[in-house]
Amino acid sequence: MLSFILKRLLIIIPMALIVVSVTWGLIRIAPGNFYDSDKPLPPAIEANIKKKYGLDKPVWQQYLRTMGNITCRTMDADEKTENGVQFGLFGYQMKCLDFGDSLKYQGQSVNEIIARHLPYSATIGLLAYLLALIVGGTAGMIAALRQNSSFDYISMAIAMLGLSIPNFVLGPILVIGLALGIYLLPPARWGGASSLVLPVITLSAIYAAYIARLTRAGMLEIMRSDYIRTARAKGLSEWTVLLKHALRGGIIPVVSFTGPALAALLAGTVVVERVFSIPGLGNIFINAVLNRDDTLVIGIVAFLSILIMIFNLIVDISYGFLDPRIRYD
Amino acid sequence: MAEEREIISGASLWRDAWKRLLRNKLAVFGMLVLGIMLVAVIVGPQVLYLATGYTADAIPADGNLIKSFPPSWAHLFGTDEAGRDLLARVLQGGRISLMVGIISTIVSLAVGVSYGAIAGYLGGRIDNFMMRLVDIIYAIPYILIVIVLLKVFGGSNTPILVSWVPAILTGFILLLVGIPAAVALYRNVGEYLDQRMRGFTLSFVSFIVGLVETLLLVAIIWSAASFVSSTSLGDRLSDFYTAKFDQSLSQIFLLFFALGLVSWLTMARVVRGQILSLKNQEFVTAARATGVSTFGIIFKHLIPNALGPVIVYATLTVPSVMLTEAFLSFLGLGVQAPYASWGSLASDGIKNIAIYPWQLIAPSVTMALTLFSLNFLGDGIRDALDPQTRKF
Repeated sequence: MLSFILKRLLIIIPMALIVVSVTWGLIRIAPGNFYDSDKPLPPAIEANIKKKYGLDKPVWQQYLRTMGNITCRTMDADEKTENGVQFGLFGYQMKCLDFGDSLKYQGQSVNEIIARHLPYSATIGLLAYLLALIVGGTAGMIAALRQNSSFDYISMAIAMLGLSIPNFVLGPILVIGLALGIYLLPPARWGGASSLVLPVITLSAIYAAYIARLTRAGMLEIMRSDYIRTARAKGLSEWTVLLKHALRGGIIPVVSFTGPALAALLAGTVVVERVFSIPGLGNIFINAVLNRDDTLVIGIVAFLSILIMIFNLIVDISYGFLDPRIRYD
Repeated sequence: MAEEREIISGASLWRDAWKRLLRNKLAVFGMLVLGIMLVAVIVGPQVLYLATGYTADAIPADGNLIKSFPPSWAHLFGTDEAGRDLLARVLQGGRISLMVGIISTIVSLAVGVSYGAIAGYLGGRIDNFMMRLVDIIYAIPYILIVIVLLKVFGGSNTPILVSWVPAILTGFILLLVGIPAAVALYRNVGEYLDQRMRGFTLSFVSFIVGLVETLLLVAIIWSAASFVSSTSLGDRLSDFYTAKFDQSLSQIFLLFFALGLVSWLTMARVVRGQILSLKNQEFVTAARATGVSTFGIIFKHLIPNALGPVIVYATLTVPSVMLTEAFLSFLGLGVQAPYASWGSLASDGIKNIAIYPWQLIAPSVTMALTLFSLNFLGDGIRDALDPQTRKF
């Protein structure tokens, strides 16, 4: 078990490096530059900009420089930067995990930008997933236990509706209804718990719908299995059977959905951020890609890909706890 | 005798599934709505034009009509700010939305099925490598890939794309053929199926399949592009190569690819899992023992058995691709004016939601209804093909 976790943790490093390399290549293919504007720059200025950002060097040197920055490298004698983790090693000055300065937001490092905007996305993302788990999980459980009842049909129809309405439509409808119509909640911006309600509901709708469907399917499958019959046969109460035995196996599909869903929630809150004017990471990322803010794109992709892989690892580990039949070698 | 039993059982699998599907009221409802929607979208714009003279981009000549009117008998869905009939725009937008959904799904099917099947067939180290590649692409935010594709090949760069598409596809297929061919040099890849199924046969088959796929894809996308723009295929083809390509149309053309190329990953996983679980099952051994040929095993046993999840997943990919297209249109990256899709109409409507709510309601209700039916149909097909998961 421990060696499995270690192996998986170690493999995250090369995988993240490959992801960053592919991203680096992808944004290099895209036409244009971060300093492009409507008017062409005077050649002398362009040459200076290129020199400052090392764009005058051969491509392979630029690539190695980027990779060196985001992992570890020795610092140049004349280099003055506060970014990243710096320390001395055998007389060399080392620097690690420096994602550089943003090309568009002058004088701000990528690390700072991520640290500043992540909390917003993380707050609404985690709250939305929690809400989706509670609502979707409960609805799915009841639907599975009262199969073919009217509750089953109605909740599954609502879930299907949740999967069919884009959240950029749902958000404004909620704003019109609950914020502008009856002045119950603030329509946008960040401030206080009440401003979280609408974005969290909007964001959680589609996940609640997925989770309700997954829970229902998982529970139906489990309730038929032999070990549930055994548990009943040995005289356990229905509640014990349900909570101690069935639930553990029944939520496995939900658990495997959680890894990618959480990662998507942390990054993919763009729509909600735009509709509710929240300064989150998703919007920053889209703008960075559109503006060719290469360092910021690479920083966010590296951060997110590591996060995705860690979530997936946690999911894989939790399988072992949920289903004792799964073993790791 | 064996041959005859084979045919009967093969036919009854699909006939059974069809019967089960028809018993599922929600799935039938989904099919009906989808059928109506398809007919409306295909012939609707012409019928509406003949009946009323409205088209998706006809702006009224009378200046007093250039205003957003609420739904009325003259304009069933109302009009937009330029006085254009919303019903005509929703019908025309449906063409593009459904086309994006269907063609991107075909692209993802073509790539995902070949990739997953080959990974599953070969197994071992190559399977491991191919699946790690999928993991890596998974970890890159798909929006980055879509935006870069749209930027690299968008606008005036589209003629480059047109000459690249066959090259990229051929390259990809050569890769798919190359892997089994290389492996075949070392060992017999088809060992578990049949001694006759050597590496050469496998690479030959995948080469033919790849070739057919390429031709089909190019043909489908070109005819789709000409359908959207309602010009003849010949004109469209010559436009491609003389770079007189409509930039907004090229954006749609690109969306087919971009969305297809980011949605094949899960398909590849589904197919691989299916092939892995099938290739060692007893019925394959049993079929071989009764003397069924390799191709008989592949086409009568393995493919029909692997097809169920693929069809189900494809049905569910269409709505998810359509949602992604709507999301891209919301960000201003999707379908560009003068063309419109349900997504871009809805995102235009949001700007005026407080004053002209019908501009949002018309496209988004139509879209939600279509996605709703697609999802129900997908669920219905899954239940019909796999009675195990059906509610006992």
